[in-house]
Amino acid sequence: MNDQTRSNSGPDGSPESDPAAIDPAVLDRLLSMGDEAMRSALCAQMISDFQRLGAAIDDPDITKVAHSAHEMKGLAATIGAARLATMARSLDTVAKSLGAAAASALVGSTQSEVARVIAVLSDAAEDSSAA
Amino acid sequence: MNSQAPLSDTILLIEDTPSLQMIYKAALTRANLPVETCGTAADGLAAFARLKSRVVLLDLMLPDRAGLEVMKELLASEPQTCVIVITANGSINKAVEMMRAGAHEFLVKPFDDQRLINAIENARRSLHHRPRSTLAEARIQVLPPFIGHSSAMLAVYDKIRSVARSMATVFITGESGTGKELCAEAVHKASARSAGPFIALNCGAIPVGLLESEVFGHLRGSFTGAISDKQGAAAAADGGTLFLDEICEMDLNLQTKLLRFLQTSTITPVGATKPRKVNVRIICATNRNPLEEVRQGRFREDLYYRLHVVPIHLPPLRERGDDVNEIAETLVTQMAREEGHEFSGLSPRVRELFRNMAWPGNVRQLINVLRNVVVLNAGPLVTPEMLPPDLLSQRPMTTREPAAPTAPARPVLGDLAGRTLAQIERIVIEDTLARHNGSVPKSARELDVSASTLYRKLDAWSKAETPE
Repeated sequence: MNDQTRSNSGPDGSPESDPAAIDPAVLDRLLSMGDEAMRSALCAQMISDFQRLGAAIDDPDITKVAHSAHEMKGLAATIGAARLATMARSLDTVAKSLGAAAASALVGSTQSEVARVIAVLSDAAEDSSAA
Repeated sequence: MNSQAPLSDTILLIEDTPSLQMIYKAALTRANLPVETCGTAADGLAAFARLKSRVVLLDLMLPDRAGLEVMKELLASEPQTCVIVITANGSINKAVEMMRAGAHEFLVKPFDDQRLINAIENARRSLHHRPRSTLAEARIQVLPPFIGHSSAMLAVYDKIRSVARSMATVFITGESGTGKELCAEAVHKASARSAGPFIALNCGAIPVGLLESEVFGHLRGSFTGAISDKQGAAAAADGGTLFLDEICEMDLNLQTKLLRFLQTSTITPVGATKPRKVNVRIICATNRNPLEEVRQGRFREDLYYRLHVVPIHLPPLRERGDDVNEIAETLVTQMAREEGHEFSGLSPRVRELFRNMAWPGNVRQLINVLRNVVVLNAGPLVTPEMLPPDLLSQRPMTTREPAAPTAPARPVLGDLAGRTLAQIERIVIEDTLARHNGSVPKSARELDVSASTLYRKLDAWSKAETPE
Protein backbone atom coordinates (compact mmCIF):
# COMPACT_ATOMS: atom_id res chain seq x y z
CA MET A 1 0.00 0.00 0.00
CA ASN A 2 2.73 2.43 0.86
CA ASP A 3 6.48 2.68 0.59
CA GLN A 4 7.70 1.44 3.97
CA THR A 5 11.26 2.69 3.32
CA ARG A 6 9.94 6.14 2.75
CA SER A 7 7.75 6.15 5.81
CA ASN A 8 10.19 4.44 8.13
CA SER A 9 13.38 6.34 7.46
CA GLY A 10 14.43 9.97 7.70
CA PRO A 11 17.13 11.94 5.88
CA ASP A 12 19.90 9.90 7.51
CA GLY A 13 18.24 6.67 6.52
CA SER A 14 18.11 5.45 10.10
CA PRO A 15 14.86 3.63 10.73
CA GLU A 16 15.30 3.63 14.51
CA SER A 17 15.63 7.38 14.89
CA ASP A 18 12.70 8.10 12.60
CA PRO A 19 9.69 5.85 13.13
CA ALA A 20 6.87 5.43 10.64
CA ALA A 21 4.91 8.64 10.12
CA ILE A 22 1.67 6.65 10.24
CA ASP A 23 1.01 3.27 11.81
CA PRO A 24 0.17 1.20 8.70
CA ALA A 25 -2.23 -1.05 10.60
CA VAL A 26 -4.35 1.90 11.73
CA LEU A 27 -4.35 3.49 8.29
CA ASP A 28 -5.26 0.20 6.60
CA ARG A 29 -8.16 -0.30 8.97
CA LEU A 30 -9.53 3.17 8.23
CA LEU A 31 -9.08 2.88 4.50
CA SER A 32 -10.81 -0.49 4.38
CA MET A 33 -14.00 0.82 5.98
CA GLY A 34 -15.61 1.57 2.61
CA ASP A 35 -15.25 0.82 -1.08
CA GLU A 36 -12.48 2.03 -3.41
CA ALA A 37 -14.21 5.33 -4.07
CA MET A 38 -14.46 5.99 -0.38
CA ARG A 39 -10.80 5.03 0.07
CA SER A 40 -9.67 7.53 -2.60
CA ALA A 41 -11.93 10.23 -1.28
CA LEU A 42 -10.71 9.73 2.29
CA CYS A 43 -7.03 9.84 1.23
CA ALA A 44 -7.65 13.03 -0.72
CA GLN A 45 -9.55 14.60 2.17
CA MET A 46 -6.87 13.73 4.71
CA ILE A 47 -4.16 15.21 2.47
CA SER A 48 -6.24 18.34 2.05
CA ASP A 49 -6.87 18.63 5.80
CA PHE A 50 -3.21 18.22 6.71
CA GLN A 51 -2.18 20.76 4.06
CA ARG A 52 -4.70 23.24 5.47
CA LEU A 53 -3.65 22.60 9.07
CA GLY A 54 0.06 22.66 8.23
CA ALA A 55 -0.37 26.16 6.84
CA ALA A 56 -2.72 27.30 9.60
CA ILE A 57 -0.25 26.61 12.42
CA ASP A 58 1.95 29.36 10.95
CA ASP A 59 -0.80 31.98 11.30
CA PRO A 60 0.12 35.23 13.10
CA ASP A 61 -3.03 34.86 15.24
CA ILE A 62 -1.97 32.60 18.15
CA THR A 63 -5.60 31.63 18.86
CA LYS A 64 -5.87 30.19 15.36
CA VAL A 65 -2.55 28.39 15.82
CA ALA A 66 -3.83 26.75 19.00
CA HIS A 67 -7.15 25.80 17.40
CA SER A 68 -5.43 24.31 14.35
CA ALA A 69 -2.92 22.43 16.50
CA HIS A 70 -5.80 21.03 18.53
CA GLU A 71 -7.61 19.91 15.38
CA MET A 72 -4.40 18.41 14.01
CA LYS A 73 -3.84 16.53 17.26
CA GLY A 74 -7.22 14.79 17.03
CA LEU A 75 -6.91 13.93 13.35
CA ALA A 76 -3.31 12.70 13.64
CA ALA A 77 -4.13 10.49 16.64
CA THR A 78 -7.13 9.01 14.82
CA ILE A 79 -5.17 7.98 11.72
CA GLY A 80 -2.25 6.54 13.69
CA ALA A 81 0.21 9.42 13.16
CA ALA A 82 1.42 9.21 16.74
CA ARG A 83 4.49 11.40 16.38
CA LEU A 84 2.57 14.20 14.70
CA ALA A 85 -0.16 13.90 17.34
CA THR A 86 2.46 14.40 20.05
CA MET A 87 4.01 17.38 18.25
CA ALA A 88 0.60 18.96 17.66
CA ARG A 89 -0.27 18.45 21.30
CA SER A 90 2.93 20.25 22.34
CA LEU A 91 2.20 23.08 19.94
CA ASP A 92 -1.37 23.36 21.23
CA THR A 93 -0.16 23.51 24.85
CA VAL A 94 2.67 25.96 24.14
CA ALA A 95 0.45 28.22 22.04
CA LYS A 96 -2.13 28.41 24.80
CA SER A 97 0.26 28.78 27.71
CA LEU A 98 3.42 30.47 26.45
CA GLY A 99 2.30 32.49 23.44
CA ALA A 100 3.38 33.16 19.89
CA ALA A 101 7.16 33.37 20.30
CA ALA A 102 7.46 30.00 22.01
CA ALA A 103 4.97 28.40 19.64
CA SER A 104 6.82 29.58 16.54
CA ALA A 105 9.84 27.53 17.61
CA LEU A 106 7.77 24.36 17.18
CA VAL A 107 6.09 25.23 13.90
CA GLY A 108 8.95 24.20 11.58
CA SER A 109 9.41 20.72 12.98
CA THR A 110 5.64 20.14 13.12
CA GLN A 111 5.31 21.18 9.47
CA SER A 112 8.12 18.77 8.54
CA GLU A 113 6.22 15.95 10.23
CA VAL A 114 3.03 17.02 8.47
CA ALA A 115 4.95 16.67 5.18
CA ARG A 116 5.99 13.12 6.11
CA VAL A 117 2.40 12.22 6.95
CA ILE A 118 1.16 13.70 3.67
CA ALA A 119 3.81 11.68 1.80
CA VAL A 120 2.49 8.43 3.28
CA LEU A 121 -1.08 9.44 2.49
CA SER A 122 -0.09 10.31 -1.09
CA ASP A 123 1.41 6.83 -1.49
CA ALA A 124 -1.79 5.34 -0.17
CA ALA A 125 -3.80 7.45 -2.61
CA GLU A 126 -1.60 6.30 -5.50
CA ASP A 127 -2.01 2.67 -4.44
CA SER A 128 -5.72 3.25 -4.32
CA SER A 129 -5.96 4.75 -7.81
CA ALA A 130 -3.67 2.06 -9.26
CA ALA A 131 -5.83 -0.73 -7.82
CA MET B 1 -40.38 24.94 24.56
CA ASN B 2 -40.10 21.22 23.88
CA SER B 3 -41.69 19.75 20.80
CA GLN B 4 -43.96 16.75 21.15
CA ALA B 5 -42.81 15.31 17.80
CA PRO B 6 -41.03 11.95 18.05
CA LEU B 7 -37.27 12.12 17.88
CA SER B 8 -35.50 10.92 14.75
CA ASP B 9 -33.25 7.84 14.57
CA THR B 10 -30.85 9.67 12.26
CA ILE B 11 -27.67 10.41 14.18
CA LEU B 12 -26.48 13.98 13.86
CA LEU B 13 -22.68 14.28 13.69
CA ILE B 14 -21.30 17.79 14.27
CA GLU B 15 -17.56 17.65 13.57
CA ASP B 16 -15.52 20.33 11.86
CA THR B 17 -12.63 18.22 10.52
CA PRO B 18 -13.81 16.84 7.17
CA SER B 19 -11.60 13.71 7.33
CA LEU B 20 -12.93 12.81 10.75
CA GLN B 21 -16.48 13.40 9.54
CA MET B 22 -15.82 10.88 6.76
CA ILE B 23 -14.23 8.33 9.11
CA TYR B 24 -17.02 8.49 11.70
CA LYS B 25 -19.70 8.48 9.01
CA ALA B 26 -18.13 5.39 7.37
CA ALA B 27 -18.08 3.55 10.72
CA LEU B 28 -21.72 4.39 11.41
CA THR B 29 -22.86 3.54 7.89
CA ARG B 30 -21.10 0.18 8.09
CA ALA B 31 -23.08 -0.51 11.29
CA ASN B 32 -26.32 0.42 9.44
CA LEU B 33 -26.82 3.55 11.51
CA PRO B 34 -28.26 6.50 9.54
CA VAL B 35 -26.21 9.66 9.96
CA GLU B 36 -26.21 13.28 8.83
CA THR B 37 -23.05 15.38 9.14
CA CYS B 38 -22.39 19.08 9.74
CA GLY B 39 -19.14 21.01 10.10
CA THR B 40 -20.20 24.03 12.14
CA ALA B 41 -22.35 24.80 15.15
CA ALA B 42 -24.72 26.90 13.04
CA ASP B 43 -25.26 24.11 10.51
CA GLY B 44 -25.57 21.56 13.30
CA LEU B 45 -28.26 23.51 15.15
CA ALA B 46 -30.18 24.06 11.91
CA ALA B 47 -29.99 20.35 11.09
CA PHE B 48 -31.10 19.47 14.61
CA ALA B 49 -34.13 21.76 14.36
CA ARG B 50 -35.13 19.80 11.26
CA LEU B 51 -34.13 16.28 12.32
CA LYS B 52 -34.75 16.25 16.09
CA SER B 53 -32.15 13.50 16.43
CA ARG B 54 -32.29 11.19 19.41
CA VAL B 55 -28.50 10.97 19.45
CA VAL B 56 -26.06 13.76 18.61
CA LEU B 57 -22.30 13.31 18.27
CA LEU B 58 -20.78 16.70 19.07
CA ASP B 59 -17.18 17.78 18.70
CA LEU B 60 -16.08 19.96 21.57
CA MET B 61 -14.09 22.44 19.48
CA LEU B 62 -16.13 23.96 16.69
CA PRO B 63 -14.98 26.96 14.66
CA ASP B 64 -18.01 29.18 15.27
CA ARG B 65 -19.22 28.32 18.81
CA ALA B 66 -18.13 26.43 21.91
CA GLY B 67 -19.44 22.89 22.16
CA LEU B 68 -20.89 23.57 25.63
CA GLU B 69 -23.14 26.35 24.30
CA VAL B 70 -24.27 24.20 21.41
CA MET B 71 -25.13 21.32 23.72
CA LYS B 72 -27.10 23.56 26.09
CA GLU B 73 -29.12 24.84 23.16
CA LEU B 74 -29.80 21.31 21.91
CA LEU B 75 -30.91 20.09 25.34
CA ALA B 76 -33.03 23.18 25.99
CA SER B 77 -34.86 22.38 22.79
CA GLU B 78 -35.08 18.59 23.29
CA PRO B 79 -34.12 17.43 26.80
CA GLN B 80 -34.61 13.79 25.76
CA THR B 81 -31.73 13.97 23.27
CA CYS B 82 -28.52 12.15 24.17
CA VAL B 83 -25.43 14.19 23.35
CA ILE B 84 -22.17 12.25 23.01
CA VAL B 85 -19.23 14.61 23.21
CA ILE B 86 -16.12 13.97 21.12
CA THR B 87 -12.90 15.49 22.34
CA ALA B 88 -9.19 15.34 21.64
CA ASN B 89 -6.86 14.20 24.39
CA GLY B 90 -6.08 17.11 26.70
CA SER B 91 -9.61 18.41 26.92
CA ILE B 92 -10.75 16.04 29.65
CA ASN B 93 -11.62 18.84 32.07
CA LYS B 94 -13.79 20.41 29.45
CA ALA B 95 -15.47 17.09 28.81
CA VAL B 96 -16.17 16.71 32.51
CA GLU B 97 -17.83 20.13 32.43
CA MET B 98 -19.94 18.92 29.51
CA MET B 99 -21.02 15.80 31.41
CA ARG B 100 -22.10 17.92 34.33
CA ALA B 101 -24.09 20.09 31.94
CA GLY B 102 -26.02 17.05 30.68
CA ALA B 103 -23.90 15.22 28.09
CA HIS B 104 -24.60 11.51 27.90
CA GLU B 105 -21.03 10.35 27.39
CA PHE B 106 -17.72 11.56 26.04
CA LEU B 107 -15.31 9.89 23.68
CA VAL B 108 -11.63 10.80 23.67
CA LYS B 109 -9.86 10.79 20.28
CA PRO B 110 -8.58 8.44 19.06
CA PHE B 111 -11.33 5.86 19.58
CA ASP B 112 -12.12 2.83 17.45
CA ASP B 113 -15.36 2.32 15.58
CA GLN B 114 -16.59 -0.29 18.08
CA ARG B 115 -16.30 2.22 20.91
CA LEU B 116 -18.30 4.69 18.82
CA ILE B 117 -21.03 2.14 18.08
CA ASN B 118 -21.17 1.06 21.75
CA ALA B 119 -21.64 4.67 22.85
CA ILE B 120 -24.52 5.13 20.43
CA GLU B 121 -26.16 1.85 21.44
CA ASN B 122 -25.89 2.82 25.11
CA ALA B 123 -27.48 6.18 24.35
CA ARG B 124 -30.35 4.56 22.46
CA ARG B 125 -30.93 2.06 25.26
CA SER B 126 -31.01 4.90 27.76
CA LEU B 127 -33.65 6.72 25.68
CA HIS B 128 -35.74 3.59 25.48
CA HIS B 129 -35.85 3.25 29.26
CA ARG B 130 -36.12 6.91 30.12
CA PRO B 131 -39.18 7.71 32.22
CA ARG B 132 -41.63 10.16 30.74
CA SER B 133 -42.37 12.10 33.92
CA THR B 134 -41.59 15.78 33.80
CA LEU B 135 -38.76 17.33 35.74
CA ALA B 136 -41.20 19.31 37.86
CA GLU B 137 -43.00 16.12 38.91
CA ALA B 138 -39.71 14.41 39.66
CA ARG B 139 -38.49 17.27 41.81
CA ILE B 140 -41.08 16.79 44.51
CA GLN B 141 -40.72 13.03 44.58
CA VAL B 142 -38.59 11.24 47.09
CA LEU B 143 -36.43 8.59 45.50
CA PRO B 144 -37.07 5.22 47.18
CA PRO B 145 -35.54 3.62 49.12
CA PHE B 146 -34.32 6.96 50.44
CA ILE B 147 -36.48 8.62 53.09
CA GLY B 148 -36.52 12.37 53.77
CA HIS B 149 -37.68 15.64 52.26
CA SER B 150 -34.86 17.96 53.39
CA SER B 151 -33.68 20.37 50.71
CA ALA B 152 -30.23 18.77 50.82
CA MET B 153 -31.70 15.37 49.97
CA LEU B 154 -34.11 16.68 47.33
CA ALA B 155 -31.04 18.05 45.56
CA VAL B 156 -29.42 14.62 45.82
CA TYR B 157 -32.53 12.90 44.35
CA ASP B 158 -32.52 15.37 41.46
CA LYS B 159 -28.88 14.67 40.79
CA ILE B 160 -29.40 10.92 40.88
CA ARG B 161 -32.27 11.18 38.38
CA SER B 162 -30.22 13.42 36.08
CA VAL B 163 -27.10 11.31 36.14
CA ALA B 164 -28.99 8.03 35.76
CA ARG B 165 -29.85 8.89 32.16
CA SER B 166 -26.20 9.23 31.18
CA MET B 167 -23.25 6.84 31.18
CA ALA B 168 -21.17 9.26 33.23
CA THR B 169 -19.05 7.90 36.04
CA VAL B 170 -20.44 8.89 39.42
CA PHE B 171 -18.26 9.67 42.42
CA ILE B 172 -20.16 9.52 45.69
CA THR B 173 -18.71 11.09 48.80
CA GLY B 174 -20.09 11.27 52.30
CA GLU B 175 -19.44 10.20 55.84
CA SER B 176 -19.83 6.56 56.85
CA GLY B 177 -23.46 5.58 57.19
CA THR B 178 -24.87 8.27 54.89
CA GLY B 179 -26.09 5.74 52.31
CA LYS B 180 -23.45 5.71 49.60
CA GLU B 181 -24.25 2.18 48.44
CA LEU B 182 -27.97 3.00 48.52
CA CYS B 183 -27.21 5.99 46.31
CA ALA B 184 -25.22 3.84 43.87
CA GLU B 185 -28.10 1.36 43.67
CA ALA B 186 -30.56 4.18 43.12
CA VAL B 187 -28.49 5.44 40.16
CA HIS B 188 -28.38 1.91 38.74
CA LYS B 189 -32.11 1.31 39.19
CA ALA B 190 -33.03 4.62 37.56
CA SER B 191 -30.73 3.97 34.59
CA ALA B 192 -31.18 2.14 31.31
CA ARG B 193 -28.98 -0.60 32.79
CA SER B 194 -31.41 -1.47 35.56
CA ALA B 195 -32.09 -4.87 33.98
CA GLY B 196 -28.34 -5.61 34.13
CA PRO B 197 -26.36 -6.64 37.21
CA PHE B 198 -25.38 -4.31 40.04
CA ILE B 199 -22.11 -5.52 41.50
CA ALA B 200 -20.76 -3.87 44.65
CA LEU B 201 -17.19 -4.32 45.78
CA ASN B 202 -15.75 -2.86 48.96
CA CYS B 203 -12.11 -2.11 48.09
CA GLY B 204 -11.30 -1.54 51.76
CA ALA B 205 -12.60 -4.92 52.90
CA ILE B 206 -10.42 -7.03 50.62
CA PRO B 207 -6.71 -7.60 51.28
CA VAL B 208 -4.55 -5.70 48.80
CA GLY B 209 -3.11 -8.89 47.30
CA LEU B 210 -6.55 -10.24 46.42
CA LEU B 211 -8.16 -7.09 45.13
CA GLU B 212 -6.91 -7.34 41.54
CA SER B 213 -8.34 -10.82 41.25
CA GLU B 214 -11.63 -9.67 42.81
CA VAL B 215 -11.97 -6.82 40.31
CA PHE B 216 -10.59 -8.37 37.12
CA GLY B 217 -10.79 -12.12 37.85
CA HIS B 218 -8.09 -14.74 37.37
CA LEU B 219 -7.34 -17.90 35.44
CA ARG B 220 -6.78 -21.24 37.05
CA GLY B 221 -3.13 -21.72 38.02
CA SER B 222 -2.24 -18.03 37.61
CA PHE B 223 -1.03 -17.95 41.23
CA THR B 224 -0.82 -20.26 44.21
CA GLY B 225 -4.33 -21.05 45.36
CA ALA B 226 -6.01 -20.21 42.05
CA ILE B 227 -7.59 -23.64 41.72
CA SER B 228 -10.20 -22.58 39.19
CA ASP B 229 -11.05 -19.69 36.89
CA LYS B 230 -12.70 -16.81 38.70
CA GLN B 231 -14.83 -14.17 37.11
CA GLY B 232 -14.01 -10.75 38.53
CA ALA B 233 -16.47 -8.06 39.56
CA ALA B 234 -15.90 -6.09 36.34
CA ALA B 235 -16.88 -9.05 34.16
CA ALA B 236 -19.79 -9.92 36.45
CA ALA B 237 -21.08 -6.35 36.02
CA ASP B 238 -20.99 -6.57 32.20
CA GLY B 239 -24.11 -4.82 30.90
CA GLY B 240 -24.75 -3.27 34.31
CA THR B 241 -23.06 -1.22 37.00
CA LEU B 242 -19.90 -1.82 39.03
CA PHE B 243 -19.88 -0.05 42.39
CA LEU B 244 -16.42 0.35 43.91
CA ASP B 245 -16.84 1.39 47.52
CA GLU B 246 -13.94 2.84 49.52
CA ILE B 247 -12.09 3.47 46.26
CA CYS B 248 -9.37 5.45 48.04
CA GLU B 249 -8.26 2.22 49.75
CA MET B 250 -7.19 0.84 46.38
CA ASP B 251 -3.49 0.17 45.99
CA LEU B 252 -1.68 2.52 43.56
CA ASN B 253 -0.64 -0.34 41.32
CA LEU B 254 -4.23 -1.46 40.93
CA GLN B 255 -5.32 2.13 40.36
CA THR B 256 -3.19 2.08 37.19
CA LYS B 257 -5.03 -1.03 36.00
CA LEU B 258 -8.39 0.51 36.83
CA LEU B 259 -7.44 3.60 34.81
CA ARG B 260 -6.58 1.40 31.83
CA PHE B 261 -9.89 -0.40 32.24
CA LEU B 262 -11.73 2.94 32.18
CA GLN B 263 -9.83 4.08 29.10
CA THR B 264 -10.21 0.92 27.05
CA SER B 265 -13.33 -0.79 28.49
CA THR B 266 -11.30 -4.00 28.49
CA ILE B 267 -10.23 -6.28 31.31
CA THR B 268 -7.37 -8.72 31.51
CA PRO B 269 -7.86 -11.33 34.25
CA VAL B 270 -4.76 -12.26 36.27
CA GLY B 271 -2.89 -14.85 34.24
CA ALA B 272 -4.68 -14.04 30.97
CA THR B 273 -2.88 -12.74 27.91
CA LYS B 274 -5.78 -11.38 25.91
CA PRO B 275 -7.96 -8.50 27.07
CA ARG B 276 -11.74 -8.87 27.00
CA LYS B 277 -14.23 -6.10 26.20
CA VAL B 278 -16.86 -5.33 28.84
CA ASN B 279 -19.64 -2.78 28.96
CA VAL B 280 -19.77 -1.48 32.52
CA ARG B 281 -20.81 1.72 34.20
CA ILE B 282 -18.59 2.66 37.12
CA ILE B 283 -19.82 4.24 40.32
CA CYS B 284 -17.37 4.71 43.13
CA ALA B 285 -17.51 6.05 46.63
CA THR B 286 -15.32 7.12 49.49
CA ASN B 287 -15.75 8.57 52.94
CA ARG B 288 -12.45 10.41 52.54
CA ASN B 289 -11.71 13.67 50.76
CA PRO B 290 -10.53 12.34 47.38
CA LEU B 291 -8.71 15.53 46.43
CA GLU B 292 -6.74 15.39 49.66
CA GLU B 293 -5.84 11.78 48.82
CA VAL B 294 -4.54 13.03 45.44
CA ARG B 295 -2.52 15.75 47.18
CA GLN B 296 -1.03 13.19 49.54
CA GLY B 297 0.00 11.00 46.60
CA ARG B 298 -2.23 8.12 47.66
CA PHE B 299 -4.64 8.45 44.75
CA ARG B 300 -3.69 8.94 41.10
CA GLU B 301 -4.65 12.36 39.80
CA ASP B 302 -5.51 11.09 36.31
CA LEU B 303 -7.75 8.41 37.78
CA TYR B 304 -9.40 10.99 40.00
CA TYR B 305 -10.35 13.11 36.99
CA ARG B 306 -11.56 10.04 35.10
CA LEU B 307 -13.80 9.02 37.97
CA HIS B 308 -14.83 12.39 39.32
CA VAL B 309 -17.18 13.20 36.45
CA VAL B 310 -20.42 13.66 38.34
CA PRO B 311 -19.86 14.00 42.08
CA ILE B 312 -22.73 13.35 44.48
CA HIS B 313 -22.17 14.37 48.07
CA LEU B 314 -24.46 12.75 50.62
CA PRO B 315 -25.06 15.10 53.53
CA PRO B 316 -24.56 13.81 57.07
CA LEU B 317 -27.76 13.12 59.01
CA ARG B 318 -27.18 16.13 61.31
CA GLU B 319 -27.47 18.42 58.26
CA ARG B 320 -30.73 16.92 57.03
CA GLY B 321 -33.11 18.77 59.34
CA ASP B 322 -36.17 16.73 60.28
CA ASP B 323 -35.21 13.81 57.99
CA VAL B 324 -33.89 12.03 61.08
CA ASN B 325 -37.38 11.84 62.52
CA GLU B 326 -39.00 10.94 59.21
CA ILE B 327 -36.52 8.08 58.84
CA ALA B 328 -36.92 7.01 62.45
CA GLU B 329 -40.75 7.01 62.31
CA THR B 330 -40.70 4.89 59.14
CA LEU B 331 -38.10 2.44 60.39
CA VAL B 332 -39.48 2.03 63.88
CA THR B 333 -42.88 0.91 62.57
CA GLN B 334 -41.21 -1.46 60.07
CA MET B 335 -39.00 -2.95 62.77
CA ALA B 336 -41.94 -3.23 65.18
CA ARG B 337 -43.81 -5.32 62.60
CA GLU B 338 -40.77 -7.55 62.21
CA GLU B 339 -40.37 -7.96 65.97
CA GLY B 340 -44.08 -8.28 66.73
CA HIS B 341 -44.13 -5.16 68.92
CA GLU B 342 -46.55 -2.25 68.97
CA PHE B 343 -44.45 0.84 68.18
CA SER B 344 -46.20 3.60 66.29
CA GLY B 345 -43.71 6.49 66.46
CA LEU B 346 -41.49 8.76 68.57
CA SER B 347 -42.39 10.84 71.60
CA PRO B 348 -42.01 14.63 71.18
CA ARG B 349 -38.96 14.63 73.49
CA VAL B 350 -37.23 11.96 71.42
CA ARG B 351 -38.00 13.85 68.23
CA GLU B 352 -36.34 16.96 69.63
CA LEU B 353 -33.45 14.91 70.98
CA PHE B 354 -32.88 13.24 67.62
CA ARG B 355 -32.97 16.60 65.83
CA ASN B 356 -30.21 17.93 68.05
CA MET B 357 -27.87 14.96 68.02
CA ALA B 358 -24.64 14.91 66.01
CA TRP B 359 -25.16 11.32 64.72
CA PRO B 360 -21.50 10.58 63.91
CA GLY B 361 -22.53 7.18 62.53
CA ASN B 362 -25.36 8.76 60.51
CA VAL B 363 -28.29 6.61 59.33
CA ARG B 364 -26.45 3.39 60.15
CA GLN B 365 -26.18 4.54 63.79
CA LEU B 366 -29.85 5.55 63.84
CA ILE B 367 -30.86 2.10 62.54
CA ASN B 368 -28.84 0.37 65.27
CA VAL B 369 -30.36 2.59 67.97
CA LEU B 370 -33.90 1.92 66.75
CA ARG B 371 -33.33 -1.83 66.48
CA ASN B 372 -32.05 -1.82 70.05
CA VAL B 373 -35.12 0.12 71.24
CA VAL B 374 -37.64 -2.04 69.38
CA VAL B 375 -36.10 -5.34 70.48
CA LEU B 376 -35.89 -4.38 74.16
CA ASN B 377 -39.16 -2.46 74.57
CA ALA B 378 -42.85 -2.93 73.85
CA GLY B 379 -44.00 0.51 72.69
CA PRO B 380 -46.17 2.28 71.74
CA LEU B 381 -43.91 5.41 71.50
CA VAL B 382 -40.12 5.62 71.68
CA THR B 383 -39.29 7.62 74.81
CA PRO B 384 -35.90 8.94 76.03
CA GLU B 385 -35.74 6.24 78.72
CA MET B 386 -35.69 3.53 76.05
CA LEU B 387 -32.63 4.97 74.28
CA PRO B 388 -29.24 3.29 74.81
CA PRO B 389 -27.23 5.12 77.51
CA ASP B 390 -24.20 5.55 75.24
CA LEU B 391 -26.37 7.47 72.79
CA LEU B 392 -27.44 9.92 75.48
CA SER B 393 -23.83 10.43 76.46
CA GLN B 394 -22.94 11.72 72.99
CA ARG B 395 -22.35 15.40 72.70
CA PRO B 396 -25.39 17.11 71.13
CA MET B 397 -24.99 19.48 68.20
CA THR B 398 -26.50 22.40 70.12
CA THR B 399 -26.89 23.38 73.74
CA ARG B 400 -30.66 23.01 73.52
CA GLU B 401 -30.46 19.46 74.79
CA PRO B 402 -33.86 18.78 76.36
CA ALA B 403 -33.11 15.51 78.04
CA ALA B 404 -31.53 15.40 81.44
CA PRO B 405 -27.82 14.90 80.92
CA THR B 406 -26.51 11.57 81.99
CA ALA B 407 -22.94 10.97 83.06
CA PRO B 408 -20.74 10.79 79.96
CA ALA B 409 -19.10 7.45 79.37
CA ARG B 410 -15.41 8.13 79.84
CA PRO B 411 -12.76 5.56 79.02
CA VAL B 412 -11.24 3.82 82.01
CA LEU B 413 -7.57 4.72 81.76
CA GLY B 414 -6.43 2.78 84.82
CA ASP B 415 -6.23 -0.51 82.94
CA LEU B 416 -4.08 1.03 80.23
CA ALA B 417 -1.54 2.72 82.47
CA GLY B 418 1.95 1.32 82.07
CA ARG B 419 1.29 -0.25 78.65
CA THR B 420 3.03 0.73 75.43
CA LEU B 421 1.16 2.62 72.74
CA ALA B 422 1.30 -0.46 70.49
CA GLN B 423 -0.27 -2.59 73.23
CA ILE B 424 -3.00 -0.02 73.82
CA GLU B 425 -3.68 0.11 70.10
CA ARG B 426 -4.07 -3.66 70.01
CA ILE B 427 -6.44 -3.65 72.99
CA VAL B 428 -8.61 -1.00 71.37
CA ILE B 429 -8.68 -2.80 68.02
CA GLU B 430 -9.49 -6.18 69.54
CA ASP B 431 -12.21 -4.67 71.70
CA THR B 432 -13.74 -2.96 68.66
CA LEU B 433 -13.60 -6.20 66.64
CA ALA B 434 -15.28 -8.08 69.48
CA ARG B 435 -18.11 -5.54 69.64
CA HIS B 436 -18.65 -5.92 65.89
CA ASN B 437 -18.57 -9.72 65.95
CA GLY B 438 -15.20 -9.78 64.20
CA SER B 439 -16.28 -7.56 61.28
CA VAL B 440 -13.16 -5.78 60.05
CA PRO B 441 -14.98 -3.26 57.80
CA LYS B 442 -17.35 -2.24 60.60
CA SER B 443 -14.49 -1.93 63.08
CA ALA B 444 -12.44 0.03 60.58
CA ARG B 445 -15.32 2.42 60.09
CA GLU B 446 -15.68 3.03 63.79
CA LEU B 447 -11.94 3.53 64.25
CA ASP B 448 -11.78 5.75 61.15
CA VAL B 449 -8.98 3.76 59.54
CA SER B 450 -8.97 1.71 56.37
CA ALA B 451 -9.94 -1.93 56.59
CA SER B 452 -6.65 -2.85 54.91
CA THR B 453 -4.82 -1.21 57.83
CA LEU B 454 -6.65 -3.52 60.24
CA TYR B 455 -5.97 -6.57 58.05
CA ARG B 456 -2.25 -5.71 58.03
CA LYS B 457 -2.17 -5.38 61.79
CA LEU B 458 -4.07 -8.64 62.34
CA ASP B 459 -1.73 -10.37 59.92
CA ALA B 460 1.35 -8.97 61.73
CA TRP B 461 0.04 -10.06 65.16
CA SER B 462 -0.82 -13.50 63.82
CA LYS B 463 2.68 -13.93 62.38
CA ALA B 464 4.30 -12.71 65.60
CA GLU B 465 2.37 -15.33 67.59
CA THR B 466 3.01 -18.22 65.21
CA PRO B 467 5.70 -20.53 66.70
CA GLU B 468 8.85 -20.86 64.56
